[in-house]
Amino acid sequence: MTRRGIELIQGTLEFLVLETLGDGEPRHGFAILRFIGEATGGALTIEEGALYPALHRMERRGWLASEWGLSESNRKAKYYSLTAAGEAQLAKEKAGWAEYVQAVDRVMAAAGARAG
Amino acid sequence: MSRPRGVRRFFRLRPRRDWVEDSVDLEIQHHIDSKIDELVARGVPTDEARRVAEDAFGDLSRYRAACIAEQKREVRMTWWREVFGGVVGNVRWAVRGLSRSPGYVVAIVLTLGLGIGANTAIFTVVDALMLRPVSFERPEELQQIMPSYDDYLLSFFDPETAQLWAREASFLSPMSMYAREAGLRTDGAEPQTLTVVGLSPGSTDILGVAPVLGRSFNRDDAIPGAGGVALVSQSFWISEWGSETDPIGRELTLDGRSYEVVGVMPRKFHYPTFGRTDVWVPLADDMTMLGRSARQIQIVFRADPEGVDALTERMKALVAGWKERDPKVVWTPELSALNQPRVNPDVRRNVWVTFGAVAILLLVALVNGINLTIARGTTRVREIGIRLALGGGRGRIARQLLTESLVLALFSGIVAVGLALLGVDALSALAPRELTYLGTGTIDVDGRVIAFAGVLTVTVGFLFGLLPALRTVKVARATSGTSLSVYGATTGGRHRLRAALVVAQVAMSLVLLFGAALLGRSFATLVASDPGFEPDGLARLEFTMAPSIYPTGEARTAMVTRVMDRLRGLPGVRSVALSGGLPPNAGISFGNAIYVAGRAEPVVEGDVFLPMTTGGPNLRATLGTALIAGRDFLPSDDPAARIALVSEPFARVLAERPELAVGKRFRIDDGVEWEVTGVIEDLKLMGLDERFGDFGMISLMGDPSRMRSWASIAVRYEGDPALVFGEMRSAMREIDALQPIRALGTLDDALWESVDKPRFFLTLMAVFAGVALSLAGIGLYGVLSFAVNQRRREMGIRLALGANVRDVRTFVMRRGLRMAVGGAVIGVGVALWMARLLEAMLFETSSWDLPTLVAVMTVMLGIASLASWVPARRATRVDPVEVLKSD
Repeated sequence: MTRRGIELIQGTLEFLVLETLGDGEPRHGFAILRFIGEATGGALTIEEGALYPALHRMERRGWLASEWGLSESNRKAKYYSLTAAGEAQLAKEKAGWAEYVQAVDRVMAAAGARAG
Repeated sequence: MSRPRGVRRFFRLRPRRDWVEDSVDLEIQHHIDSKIDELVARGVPTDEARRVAEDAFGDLSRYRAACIAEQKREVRMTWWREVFGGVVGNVRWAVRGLSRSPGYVVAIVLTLGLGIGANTAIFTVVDALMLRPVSFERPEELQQIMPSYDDYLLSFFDPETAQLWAREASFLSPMSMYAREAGLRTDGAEPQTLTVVGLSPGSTDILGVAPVLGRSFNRDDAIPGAGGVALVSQSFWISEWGSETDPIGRELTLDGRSYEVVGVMPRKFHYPTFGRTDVWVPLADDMTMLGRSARQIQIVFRADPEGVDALTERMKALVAGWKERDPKVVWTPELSALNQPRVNPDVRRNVWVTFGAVAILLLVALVNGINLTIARGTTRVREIGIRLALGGGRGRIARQLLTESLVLALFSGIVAVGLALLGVDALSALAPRELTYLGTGTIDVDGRVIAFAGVLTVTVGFLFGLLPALRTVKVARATSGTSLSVYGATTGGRHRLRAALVVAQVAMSLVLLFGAALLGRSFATLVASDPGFEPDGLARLEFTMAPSIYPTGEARTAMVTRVMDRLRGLPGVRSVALSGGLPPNAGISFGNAIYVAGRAEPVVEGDVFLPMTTGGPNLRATLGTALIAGRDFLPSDDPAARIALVSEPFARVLAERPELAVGKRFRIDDGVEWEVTGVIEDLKLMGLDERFGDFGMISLMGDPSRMRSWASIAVRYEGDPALVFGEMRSAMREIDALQPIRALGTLDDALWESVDKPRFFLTLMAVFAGVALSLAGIGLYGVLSFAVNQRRREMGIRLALGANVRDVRTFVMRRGLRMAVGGAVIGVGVALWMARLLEAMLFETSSWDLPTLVAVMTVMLGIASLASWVPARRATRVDPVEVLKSD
């Protein structure tokens, strides 16, 4: 597999993780990666190992809670889920992201209008 | 569980015990394995799948390390949060509980506060005198050169030798030299004799202390003839001129010369450490200061502690060379580090004994605290029993109880520091001057003292909290808090424990009481002892004549004669006599042996002390000292004659009977030979305690040209001392208005002052004993009173069944006295054993003094009876009907 697609920056990664877990289903690290990969159709990639420090950091910040369980392949795996604080953070970032996108859109529209 | 081979191989790890790392490894392992599964499912061969999976993961070790770091931080933070939350919770619980028992809180805080406060106050003395390092920079490097003679060590050199050191010992440079002289200051409101220290330039740099204002001395100041500059201490500046004024540039007139203040030294700098030094002038290169040659010069320099031995060898070689040039050099140089405490071993021992006594007081207070807490614990046995039954952890409850004690201890600590501040003020005011000046600075409450108080507070908190906490939990667990069991539990083991503690208290206070009583007896004996002269109606007038005004012996003799003639003419003055020093601090000579003419062997050998003074023909009569044999001095005696009056104990050493001593000639070592003209009664020239032995000698005052600069005049008077002293002062002023009087007072006062040290320690001991005794009494009362309360049912039944009121009272009192007697017996044993420590402080009192022992036991039993009587009376007042109705 070659590495291609857009390299994600750290803040966005955390946002994506929050978003992934937003449906309430606990997932382990590999599942989270797979979800992101499938949802973006492989467009966004990260170095797989980079996910894990992010997960631990988010857990320390209180956005995620973890629990050990048995995975589909009957191995021990660590499952993550959103905490109440995590959900609040998700809502906050979603709003922020929407604003950001809106602002960039407006600039593009203004530039476009100027161009032609 | 075993880790998959791949992971182990990849990480090249040895199996770790750390669960954080295990957990991270497991998580990562799961990812890799899942990836491998996915790839294999897509048809990639297993080996290649593994390679691809690991490759896709990225920098494994870096990510792993990052995860582990995060995890560890999380674990730490959680732990801290729990602990802190636990502590805060405990404190809140403790405060809530304590606010429900204000009486208990007040009792504990006062009792422990008193104990800790007293210890802290005494610690300030211990610290100032013995523990605190000298306030110089790196004091362990400062060394003083001491000339060592055969049997004794001096600390100073004469000017010629000091200059030799300066010139020839450049390997010790830079050196600081200093000398202490008395200077007459005449620019102030009143003429004053000050202690002035001459300092060589650069001394303050060597010591590592900088002036807070202005500058220190430089080389130019040390040029002989220059040096009209001075340094003053901060306290001198503030008390003389006020902190508002600029001291730099002010002029001091010392011994008739003008000195300009060029610098101010910091508040705690009173170098050298003996006495109080407020003014420093330069010590010129020719060892002169204040316009005259300094007589005793001390030398200090800075050296690496490692190289001290080598330096000493070089110094010895140098001095050996001097000895060859001049055979009078009979000493060898030794070094003494400046950071050794220079406290008199007597004083040191006394202070440690006091510290021990106050520690015992703290123990007594602590026991009170423990008893009170145990009693209080009883009332909560129910509450705690329920909590335990509901599943509360033993450890948790014990921790909560301990927190309660620590909170109380904290309040006690605050009270203690407050008490210590007050106490230190009192101590400084009452303490004999020697105590406050001998140390490296002032006695006050500083950071070190507060740290001591803090440590003591925490220790006390633990001690008085731990035992009752464990006890309460144990009892609550055993009884599950039901009321019947409470009853059983308290009259049994619990009471025994508290009773045992009270017995310990009684024992400890008895020890203190015995110590105080012994000191008291000793002091009484000391004060009642016969000084050998008649202090009633005897005064002394002492003054120092400045060499600048009275440069020759004849001038001084003329002045003194004028003064004495004037004094004789005053109404109320019966007789006047001149001496070189009056008791109780007359003067002393010392040596290795005393020889009598005609005997080859010395009559006394070893460290010989001979208290002595000089006087004219009427000194003995003015003092009121009886003549036992021979004759007094006569006006017709040649003033240059070497004749002396000796005291009886000394006479007995010189000859078998005092009468036979008349006419004998004696000398100390190779000194002057004296002839005995008369024997006087035992005159205590150097203090009532005769710590320098019981010899005494008055030699005939010599030739007027050798009159020294200080005069001690004994005046026998009649009538009101205030009037007589007033007239004596006016007489002095008329003769020389600028002549300050160093001392004018009755010899009664002087004697009283001379026993200030034993008086001080006795006062402290008595205070501690009194407080301890009260605490023990309260403790005894508390235990008995509680026991009576617990056994109200039993008392009620007994009374209902017709018991005699007196029997009930006796029953209670017997219990109380049993505890007291038990404590007294143990206390006596310990007291007698520890009395040995006091022996050196006692004057003509044995440490096993029987009457004192009996008196002390009587006092103790008296207090115990009183403390038992009140609960006993209360026991008889129990209403049987009421008691039987309740419960």
